[in-house]
Parts: sequence; structure tokens; C-alpha cells
Amino acid sequence: MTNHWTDLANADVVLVMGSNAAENHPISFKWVTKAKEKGATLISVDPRFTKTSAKSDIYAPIRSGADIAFLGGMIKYIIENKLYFEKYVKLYTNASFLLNPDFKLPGDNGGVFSGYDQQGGKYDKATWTFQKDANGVIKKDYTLEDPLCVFQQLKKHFSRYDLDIVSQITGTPKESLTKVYKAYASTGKPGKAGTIMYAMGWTQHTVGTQNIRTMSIIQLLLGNMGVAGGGVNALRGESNVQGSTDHALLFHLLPGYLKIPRASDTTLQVYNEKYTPKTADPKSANWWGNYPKYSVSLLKAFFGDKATKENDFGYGWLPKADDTGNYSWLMLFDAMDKGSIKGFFSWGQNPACSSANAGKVRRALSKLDWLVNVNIFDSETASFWKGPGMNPSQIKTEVFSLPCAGFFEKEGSITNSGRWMQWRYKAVEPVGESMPDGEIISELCHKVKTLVKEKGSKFPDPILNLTWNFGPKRHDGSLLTFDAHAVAKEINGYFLEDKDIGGTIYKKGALVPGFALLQADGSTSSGNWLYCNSYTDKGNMAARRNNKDTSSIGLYLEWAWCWPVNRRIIYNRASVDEFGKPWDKDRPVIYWNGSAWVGDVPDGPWPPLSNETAGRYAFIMTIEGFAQIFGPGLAEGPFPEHYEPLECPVEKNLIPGNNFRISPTVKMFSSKGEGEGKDVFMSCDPKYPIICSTYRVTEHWQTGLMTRWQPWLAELQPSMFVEMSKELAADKGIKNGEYCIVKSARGQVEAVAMVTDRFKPFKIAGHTVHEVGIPWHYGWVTTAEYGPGLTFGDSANLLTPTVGDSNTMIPESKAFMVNIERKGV
Amino acid sequence: MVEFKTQKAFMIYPEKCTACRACQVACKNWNQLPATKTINRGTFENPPDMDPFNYTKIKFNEYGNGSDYGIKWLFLKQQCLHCTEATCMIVCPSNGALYRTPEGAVAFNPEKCIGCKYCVMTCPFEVPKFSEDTKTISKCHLCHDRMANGLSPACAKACPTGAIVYGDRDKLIAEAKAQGAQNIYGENELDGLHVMYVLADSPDKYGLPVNPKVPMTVVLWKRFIKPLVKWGIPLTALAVLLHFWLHGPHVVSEGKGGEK
Amino acid sequence: MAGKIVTNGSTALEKIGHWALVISCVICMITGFGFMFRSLDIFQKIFGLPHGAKTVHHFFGLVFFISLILVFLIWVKDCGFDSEDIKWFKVFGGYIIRTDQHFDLYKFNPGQKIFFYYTIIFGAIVSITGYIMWNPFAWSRGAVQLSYPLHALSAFMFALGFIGHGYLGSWANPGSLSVITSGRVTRAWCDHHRPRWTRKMVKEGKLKEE
Repeated sequence: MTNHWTDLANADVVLVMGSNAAENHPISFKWVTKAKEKGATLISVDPRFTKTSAKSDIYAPIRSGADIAFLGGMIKYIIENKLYFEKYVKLYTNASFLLNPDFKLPGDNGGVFSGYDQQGGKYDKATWTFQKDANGVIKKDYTLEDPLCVFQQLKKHFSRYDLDIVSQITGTPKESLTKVYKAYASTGKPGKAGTIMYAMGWTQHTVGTQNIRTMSIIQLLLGNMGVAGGGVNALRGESNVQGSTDHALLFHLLPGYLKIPRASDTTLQVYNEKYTPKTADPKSANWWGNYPKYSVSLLKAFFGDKATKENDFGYGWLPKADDTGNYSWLMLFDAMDKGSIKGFFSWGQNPACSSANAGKVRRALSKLDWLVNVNIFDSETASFWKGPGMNPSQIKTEVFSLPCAGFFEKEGSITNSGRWMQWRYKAVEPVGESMPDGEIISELCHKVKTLVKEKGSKFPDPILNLTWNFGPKRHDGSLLTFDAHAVAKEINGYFLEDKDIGGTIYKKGALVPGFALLQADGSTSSGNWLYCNSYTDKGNMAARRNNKDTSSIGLYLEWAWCWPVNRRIIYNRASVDEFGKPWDKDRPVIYWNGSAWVGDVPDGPWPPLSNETAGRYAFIMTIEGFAQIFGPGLAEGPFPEHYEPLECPVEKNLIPGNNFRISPTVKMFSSKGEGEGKDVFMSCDPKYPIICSTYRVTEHWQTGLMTRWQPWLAELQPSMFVEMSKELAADKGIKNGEYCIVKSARGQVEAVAMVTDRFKPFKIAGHTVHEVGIPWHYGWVTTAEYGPGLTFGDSANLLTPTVGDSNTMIPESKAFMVNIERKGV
Repeated sequence: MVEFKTQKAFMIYPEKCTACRACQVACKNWNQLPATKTINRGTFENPPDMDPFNYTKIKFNEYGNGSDYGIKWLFLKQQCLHCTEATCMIVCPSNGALYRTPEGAVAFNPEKCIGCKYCVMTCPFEVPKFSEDTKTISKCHLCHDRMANGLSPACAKACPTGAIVYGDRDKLIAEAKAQGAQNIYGENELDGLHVMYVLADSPDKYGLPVNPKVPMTVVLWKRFIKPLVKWGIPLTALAVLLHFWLHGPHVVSEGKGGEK
Repeated sequence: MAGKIVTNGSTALEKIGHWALVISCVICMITGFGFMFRSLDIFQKIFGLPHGAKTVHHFFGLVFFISLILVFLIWVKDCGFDSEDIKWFKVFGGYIIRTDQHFDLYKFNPGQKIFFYYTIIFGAIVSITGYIMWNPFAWSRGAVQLSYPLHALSAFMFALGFIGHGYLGSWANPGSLSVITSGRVTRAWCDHHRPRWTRKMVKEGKLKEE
């Protein structure tokens, strides 16, 4: 979230699309309800009429996988009706930038941008660039009239998304489209704010990243970024997914969104130069220009005194990824299935249910030599060898299960969707032999270090030099107790020597008060620069519990701590005009009082833009300082373009002039076909004519591992179900409450039919197309056949395809094709 | 009994309810009620009805008009409404099995409940439920144990959207009216409910009785027959005595076979 | 013959049926009124808390129902109306205003016959509604709700009958009570109250005297 949960109450229009917040983020509706009480309009766009829809002022149905078409139509509507916030667009976005004359839009290029390499299935981005003047500064046309400026190109690109085409693709009635567009575009005025609440309904598509890009463009056009009640707000699917992302759970990142070193990044200097952006524009803050300070401080946190200037601060000890290596989830399990991964730590997860094409994952697990499972309950992953279709006598995998503590049995922090790092205390002692994760991993680390020390290793340095000062130690170097505070402090960072910065002396051993003070010379450490300021000499900022609000917009600056540097609304320099006056006088995020900023922690201390010398552009994290309406960083193109899901009900892309049905940059695992758990897909196949999407229910969490074992929750949602329209049910002869079988090219699941008016057939390009929906919380370990009989049904992911987004490799589990029949027919 | 005005109550705003059912779980948690075995019956709603181990539940009311998206999905929190004119208390034969707390709630004492099921069969909202295991009834008691200690009932505490507001009854009514509530269900029904609703549609759309009343038969039973018994039996006995006093015994004379 | 005592004024079965009905009725009335009136909860407590009272009420309700059937079967044949009854009705048996008129009755006078049907009807209603109330989940809410007032009303009627019958069978008619206790009554009592029966018994040689 660029904003945060409580800020939802400030919105004038709340668009919930790609999520079902009322169902899956119940607390968010505390703030949405407050916004509604103040007169806000709530819009729900969803394939089915959800709990969110039930609370909304406007509901529009949409076929799964057609979001870019829907939103592209909105961009066209906003531009052609001149509903955008013109001054904002000119001041803060790259709409005025002049593009490379060789750049081509998909409308003029058969459905792809210029630079497409059909063979490699990827782009050469050489033409996705801006024109620069003699000083290397980007040329701009503030009138936005130059046909080569980003704004005009955007207008041209989305002029193809007219209401008829959009309605044919999305299945949304034209009146509903207009109603949504009109309501949302009403926020394109100063003093009005619109917010978007999205979740996995947008990310889990082959075009997931571009779904969000499209909305970001809308938010920029309407001037909704940086303001109270605005922003682009990802509702995280787990309480701490934001924290785990910040701390580099992803394969291509180091903590704080630093890049993972690649094989060709041979030295620290090469690495830093490659990832440190440069700008010739003196008014661009270009914050990532500080990259070396963060990378060196991270290395100092990893290796302590062993990291010296002479040894590149231990850079050489970091593992390097192949230059084009992709180690994402789908790829890991593909490698496991092919036998090249022999051991697997499944820590706090349940891939046998959570992973797309779970049948393939279950098969892959059986090819392991060993599997370590760390969890609070038995799971389909831990017990995969005795699950459906498995023959234990044929499986050689050795499985170890380590019981771990639940969140209430240990101390530590979580970071919520709104970037708030909140400290939690231990409420009760862990049950039985279970231990907090920190203790398990500390012991593991100690054992590995001891083994390497005693038996040697090909490359012992990274392991032996790794610091591990997370609590008092025994003689042998193992931890006596694990101290979460020590970890939190290391993440924040220390001064490692006395340091004079701008006349202030910081003592050796002091905690660094903020990332602006981190150094590239090895004098500071920080386990994650973004969290520098979270644990200072003033104490544990995440543990603050002052719920008094000194702002008028519910910032609660002394409640917990928020990255970066307690800034509650990021890009907040865009909430004011060039003189520092808020666009919205009633809901100011920050304002310039003539000498300083008042309100939220501003995006940097510099005065407003009108100050010719000291002023800085608002979007400090981009190279040029402008928000990117034209975004050349992504795989599929600088503007979003509608492409169909891998499996869809239409033969071709209905956008005029586009010859590519699916995203041209998608990594394909296989071609057409059929088979249990295989990487196959069947699009536009009469065998699988029904669209299917997966989703969640309030009562269960993720694969249900933590909730299916809880009888109170199982009572509320005891069973896998499939929601469908009355029309489809009549077609298939299925009655409400009957047991059905839902099949895809990859597998099948049993489910109870939920026949409802809340699902309606879509009219797609003149044809009636049905969609059904299934929750993905269920699994066989808690069924009557294999376990305590608390729930019924297996994982929805037995149906989903092995295919991911081109940028993130997030699997496409929100739109695929199935068929359905009554059980026993 | 305390002043009616200062009695505690709920004002429930179904329009704010997202059917997250945190109230259902919070209730089970506070009252330590066991789970019941359920199946999916083709709806999100579970358990099917309030039962001995579910004092409260969300009722899902779905209305589609069949042709377009004119759909309504109305959520109602079902629980004991703690009537002032409480049928259950009127019919209960066991002293103290159902009783009024100082805060105004209708609570139950399982030790005194004899399991006659009168309340189960006559409550206009069909709230009290009989357990075959414990042989007693149970129902929501508005967490009178929490209330007595200055805490809000568990479900109100858990509600994330503010759909369940707990407070002084008259203040709740004033607040709702200040917010423009036209009809407050329960303001006057059954002499005033202690759980009231601000409804956006007619009560029957939510699954509430439109005009809840103490059943006619209960009125007949307790308002007419009971006094009849109370006076009828002594009066009859009196009439008999009078007869005896006036006429004396009817003696059959010995040997004559005739009258006295 | 005067001074002789008839010993078979009632059969053993009649005695059992009658007294079972009386005892169960009394117990059910005590517990029942205990349920109806909170102020009479002493009536519950004497049977060991309300739970005990409920169990007792149920058990003796069952006894009541069985004995009701029994007395019905025993006496229904003696309770048909005939022409002699019309004469009786004209002066209402002399209950209200005493008369010297004599009626050639069989075993029961018409008042007793009416009381018999009164007992059977209200006894049946109280039993049936009681049965419904005992297991209310087997019936519709409407049926159960209707049962409650009917049960109370019929029990009340039964109680009135009980008082009247008890009075007429004891203080009002000295010498009558023993016909259903010991079965021993005077021959004079027999000649007066049931002349036709006495004649029949004598004729058949079944009248036992001492």
C-alpha cells in the first residue's frame, strides 16, 4: 500500500477490484465503512456479486482476466472527457516526456511494442526511451500536445479501447462500464481522492503486473497518488507478506529491494555501478543514487568485522545468480520435478496445496531425497507421501517435521499491508516441543557452522564469517536464547565507528537514526536500509502504542512504525502544489509552512518545487523524479495492453489490430495437451468451456493449514464448494447443495454446488460464457477419509495451470478453464 | 430492576455488516461452546440455525431478480433480542431459570432449567434452543457476565465494522435517529427490545417477523386461563362449602330406601 | 334385609382404576399448579426441585392417562342414557332443590354419567395436549402453542370436576364414599341409588351381602 489501512476512511471513491476486501480483509471495511458514512462511493468490480458488492453503491460484473480492457476503457474515458487532473499530470508525471521517435505502439505493430523478439519471446527495450537534450536531461512538452509525448502516445494507445470492444471483452454491460468510469473519474479534481483496493485478483494473472500498472496510470491521471484517501493499495494476503517481501523472501532481491548479485557482477564496484541509477537533472532527488550506502551497510550487517574495504566488504561471499537465472516458485518446483533439487525446507508453507498445479508439486515432492517441514499443524506437504494417489512404499523421500511456535507464542514484528511494522509480544508459552522460528533457524545455523568448521567445505567463508549476534551464547557458540530485539536492532543498523556527519558525532555502537545517515565506507551496518529508523536509541519504534492522532487525516504517527522513516503516505510531495500548498485543504498530508514541512514525514526535506535551486521533483524513487505513466521497466511493454489469460474462452485478442492472444513475453512450460498434474493447458477447448477463478473465504487462511484444524472455523465453512449461476446449473442439471466434480486439463476436485443469482453468465463477443468460482483453502489431511473429518475436499490448485506473470512469475490462478459435472453422473 | 432508560442494549446496523462472522466465533470463544458438525448446504450460511452451541449467527438473505444484477444480499445478526415483554420469561415454569439481569438482558440459569421447552416453542424469534446433551435450553445472554464487569459483549467487541454498537438503550436510539434512522426495529416491539436493528429494507427481507408479538395462545394461557384457575378453584370450593352449609348431607334413611 | 351390608358395591378393577386416577390427578394438579404459579413453587420443591416435579408430573401424567383409559373401558357400558334419565333431568336429581322423587336408576345417575363423560373428555384433552407438550419437537409450533392453553384449561375443568365429584361422593352423600373404597355399602344405599342394578344382581344371585 502506498497509503495505509486507516487512510481508506479519507477516500471519496473506493474502487474494489481484483479483491474482495469485505470477505478477505474484514478490518479494511472498518475504514471503508467510515468513508461511506462520510459519503464516499464504493464500487465493486468482480466476476461474482461478493460480500463487497453487497456493500457497494455500484457493482459491475467482469470476466476474470479482462481487467486491463476494463481499466484501459477508463483511461480512454478520462482522457477523452478531459477528466484528468491536468496540473498534477504535468507537474508530477512523465506525461510531458518526449519519446524516442522509433518507439511503436502495439496498435501500429500487430499487437506488440517495438523491439519484440518473437524467437526469444522478449523485448529489446532500445526504443522504449526518451529524447534527451545536450545535457542529457529529458525533453518535455508541458503543453502535452507533441504527438511524441507520453500523454499523446497514451491517448493514442487507449483510443482502441472503446466501450463496445471493452464490453465485448469484459462481458460488462456498457451502462455499468460508464457508471464505474464516471464515478471513479470524479476524483480527478483537486480536493477529491479515489483509492483502489486490489489483491490477488489482479496479481495472479499472466498480465498481473500490468493490471496494477494500468490502475497506477489512472491514479496518476486523476492526481490520486500521494494524497490522503488515494494511492495504489495492495491488500496483502498474509499478515506479514509485506514484511517478508521487504526482507527479501523473493529470489531476485536482497533485503530492502536491493538486487541479487548476478554472475557477471564480479566485484562490489561492478555491482554498485550497475544498480545505481544516474540522472543529469539536478532537480531529481534520484534516491536510489544512494544504492552503495545500502549495499555496503547490508554486507556489514551480514559479515561484521570480517567485511572490510580490502575484501569488498565480503561481496565475494554472496551467492551469485545466473545472469538470466529465474529461481521463482514455479521454476523451483519444475526443477524439483525434473530431479535437480534434492532437498527442500518447507518453512511455514504448504506448497502441496498453495502452489499452482498442485498435482505437479505433489509429484515433485516425491522425487526429493529429504524434506524438512516446519509448521504448527500437519499439512498436505508434510504428509504428501500418504496422500491421494500416492504409494508410500514407492516414495524414498525422508520427511522431517519440526513443530514451531504460533505467532502468539513468540515475540517479534510483523509488517502489515500499510507498511506498519508492529511489535508483537509472546502471549503464551509454545506448546510441547515447538519452538519459535528464530530459535530453530539459530540452531540450524550453529549446526551448519560447526559442521563446516569440523568437516570443512569447498567454500566455508560465507558461512563461517556470517555474524549471528542474536542473543547470549554458550561456549560452543550456539545461542542460549534467541533475542528478537537483537535481530530488530541489526535490521535497523549500527554505527560501527565514531562518525562525524554534518557536524554531529555519532558514537560507535549507536543505532543509526535513519537511512539518510547510512554510509558506503563500512562505518555503518543495516540489515535492511528501509527499516533504518525502526529501532533507534529512542527505543523500539514498532512497539509504540500511542493512538492519539495529531493530524486531521488519521496518520497516527506514534502508533508503531512505518517504512520508510515513519512516512505513512508515500509520494506525499505530490499531495501539494509547486508551492507546497495541499491540493486538498481539508485533508492535507503535508504542507510547507515557509521553512519546513508540517504533517506526515515528507518524501525528503527539500523545499517545494517552486524553489528553483533547492526544490526537488516529487517522485524521488524514480531516476527522473517523475511518476511513470510511461514505464519502460516491465517485460510486456511501457504501456499496458490487454492480452488473454493462457486459458480463455476466446480464440483471439479482441483488441483491434492485436494478433497476440496471450502476453507475448509469457514463459511457457509446455504446449497443449491433457494429463494429471502436467504442465498442460487447453484454451478455447469445448472440453473445458467454463471460466474458473479461485478465491478465499473469511473463515479460512491460505491453504487452510492454520484454520481447517480449528473446529469453530470448520463449522462455519466446512467444505470445498463451487459457485455457479442458476443458468449454468440448469444446463448441467445440478441442484444447489449437490456434490459436483470440477475438472481442468490438469486435475479435478470435488465440491458442493452453490447455485446463486450472484453469478451470471457473461456475453463475450456475442457468445454466452459461464464462469464459476472455487475457494482454495481445502486439502485432504483434514478430511474424513484421511484425518479428523473437519472439512471436505481437496485443493483448488489441482486445477490451476503452471504459468506465471512475465515480471514476477506469480502463477495465473485467477483465470483458467474447467468443466463441471454432477458427481456420480 | 433498574430504570429502563439506563438499560444496556445493542443497536445493530445490518448495512454495515460484512458477514465476516467474527461475532459467531467471538461468542463461541467467550462462552467456550463446542463446534458443531456442519456441511455446506449450498450457501455461505452455517450453522443452519441457532443451536445450543451457537447463541448467535449471521443469516444470509439472497434476493436476485433473475435477469440482471439487481441483487440484494442482506446479512442479519440473529441472537436473543432480549424483549422487555419476554415470552420466554412469561411461559417459563421454573423460578429463576430465565431471569432479567440488572442491565436488562434476559439470562438463563441452566441449573434451574427443567427442559420443558415452553420458551423454545413460543419465542416469537425462535431463539432459545434445547440441548439433548444437557437437557436444558441455552441462548444469548448478552454476555451479562462481561457486562457486569463493565465490558462490552464479546460479539460487539469483535465486530470490525461497527455494525454492532453496544451502549445505553436510550442513547443508542437517539444516536440512530440522529443519523437519520427512520424505523428502528425493536424500539417499541414487545415493549422494547434490548437488541435493535436499523434496517434498510422491510424486516421480512432480513428474516425478521414484521410484527413480533407474544403468541395469542400464550396470552390466552397466561393472561386469561391462569387467573381463571387462580379464582375458579377457590370459588368452586367455596360453592361446595356453601352447598353443604345450605343443604347438608344427603342421608339415605335406613330400611326405608327413601329420602331423608 | 334391612341392616345388611352389600360388600360388592365395586369391583377390584373399579377401585384400582378410580384410585389410580385420583392419585395421579392429585399429584399432577399439585405439580401442575406449581408450574403455573410461581408463588406455589413449594409444590415443585416438595418433589425435589423443579426437575423432580417435572419428572413426577410426566410419570403420573402417564399413570393418569392409563387409568383414564381403564375407567373408560370399565364404566362406559354403564353410562349409556335411558328414558329414566329424562325424569331425573327434569328435577336435576334433586341436587339443587331436594325432592322426594325416586328414580329407577341402574348403577349411575345421569349426573354421574355426565361427570363420566366430562372426566373422559377433559382427561383426554389434558392427556393429549400433555403428550404434545412432553415432546414438542415432534409437532408444529402452532399445535404445541395451542396445546399450552388447552392443557391448562382442561386441567382446570378437571380440577373443578374433581372438587364437585369429591364433594358429592363424600360429605354431600354420606355412605357413598365407601362404595369405591371398601365396596361396602348398606343395602338401603343400594336400593336408593342403584335400584335397577340391585334388582339385577339379586336376580342373578350376584349380590354379596353379610
